[in-house]
Amino acid sequence: MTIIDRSLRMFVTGALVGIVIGLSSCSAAQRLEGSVVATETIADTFAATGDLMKLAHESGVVADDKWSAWCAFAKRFKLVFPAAAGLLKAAIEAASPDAADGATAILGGLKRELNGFEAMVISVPPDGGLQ
Amino acid sequence: MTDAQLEMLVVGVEKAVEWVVGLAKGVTGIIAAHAVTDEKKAAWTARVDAAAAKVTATPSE
Repeated sequence: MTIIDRSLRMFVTGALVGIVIGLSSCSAAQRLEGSVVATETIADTFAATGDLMKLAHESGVVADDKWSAWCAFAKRFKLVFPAAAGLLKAAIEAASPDAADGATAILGGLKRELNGFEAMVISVPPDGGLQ
Repeated sequence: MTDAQLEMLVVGVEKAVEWVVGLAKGVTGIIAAHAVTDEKKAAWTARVDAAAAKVTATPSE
């Protein structure tokens, strides 16, 4: 085996190791980014739905009982979200995509409930159905 | 070995070195772009904090 052959083999081995390390890092970074985006999306949806619910309630489009239901849900959401956010931040610090997935999974149940309020606000007709 | 052959050999070696350096830079670039760096951690944490602030500011009573 010549020196060139040996050098080429060492180079190819090094390049393959580099690519494997690169791909595994890519996966971790992408998953953490995905968890952050998912958390941002849920927070944005919650904020937008809350603003619309308030507007709709103040204009009489949303009844008091539905507004009360929103308030109860929103208070629960505000208790759970910071806990999930704290877990996500710890997962980011530890560079642990699995822990980040766990943090966003906590918000999954609340997201389904949030979807109900979002659908309710979106389905309100422009005139509030007051015809 | 003639002078012309020697010159071709030198040019070949130079090209090979350029190719290896280029490939190494490419691999390093890929790793750097996708690594979980302290800068990315700080940016992600700030985004999570901003999301939490939005939630806090949302009307609930």
